[in-house]
Amino acid sequence: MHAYQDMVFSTAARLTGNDAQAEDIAQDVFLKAYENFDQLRSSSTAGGWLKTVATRLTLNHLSRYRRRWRFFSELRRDDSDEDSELEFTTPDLTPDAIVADIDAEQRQAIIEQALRELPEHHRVPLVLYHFEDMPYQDIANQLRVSLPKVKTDIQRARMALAKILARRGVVRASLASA
Amino acid sequence: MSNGPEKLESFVDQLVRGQPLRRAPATLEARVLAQLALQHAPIPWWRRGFTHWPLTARVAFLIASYGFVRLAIAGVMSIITFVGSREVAETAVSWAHVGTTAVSATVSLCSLIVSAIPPLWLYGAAVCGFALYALLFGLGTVAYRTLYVQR
Repeated sequence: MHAYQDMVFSTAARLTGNDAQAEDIAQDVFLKAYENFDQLRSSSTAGGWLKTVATRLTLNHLSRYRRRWRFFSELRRDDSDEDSELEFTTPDLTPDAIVADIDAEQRQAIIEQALRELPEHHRVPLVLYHFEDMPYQDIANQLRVSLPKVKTDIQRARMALAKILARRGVVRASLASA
Repeated sequence: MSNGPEKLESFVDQLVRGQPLRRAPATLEARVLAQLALQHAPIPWWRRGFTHWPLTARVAFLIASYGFVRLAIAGVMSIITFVGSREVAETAVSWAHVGTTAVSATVSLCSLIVSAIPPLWLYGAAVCGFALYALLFGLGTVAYRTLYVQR
């Protein structure tokens, strides 16, 4: 459990954007692992199994949670959800755009925080693609949405993430007149 | 400067590539172990199915059930006998009359009060109640979003 708990927790935390929920999900993942302990003990793919189960349980949790709390959670969220404040900040995407004089640990914390700030319909596909290395088609299947929508959501999520990071000073921003 | 999709994708890739795993809370392992201990704790016989009960408990339960059924039947029979007598029936009728009189008097009083209140007040009270309900709902939403979702 020691070897995998950070991986399982990270998967759940990045997808949910909520540490308390991620801890509950991680607990469920390890309880399921215990049920299959005999198979997993000798398996070389235990890590992959745990990651898959963590992703599946998190997505199940999110879909249940979304149905239950749709009104509360998505009150302000629609497809035009970019902050007006961010509209004026265009991140610089050149290879040396990442500000070097920020401590790596601090930069990592800011990136995690920025992920949490993304709306769920942006964060989930982005994390599945960039952190879980899932192909577009698999993400579309998992989330039961069309392939073009997944691509659009991920593209918007990347832009929103880059803008948040530009605002926090992690990447260079060029001010553009909107 | 144009931020093309491929450029943006490789930029985000570059950003997250070195991102380390989040550290799991220290409480996670203890929680899992506690849950496992709970799942594997022996369940007492009275929380299991009847077929898993000890023989003496099963026999005692059947005897107690038989006694309870006998008692219930005897109780119902005695109530039927009691209600069947004339005095009891008359008493019941008089109590029913008192009850209906009290209810009708209360209804008359309420309708008198309502008719005495100006309709504008009633509409105002309804609007006020609805506004308070909406306010409470809004406060609940804000509290949820602030205290729970942002956690």
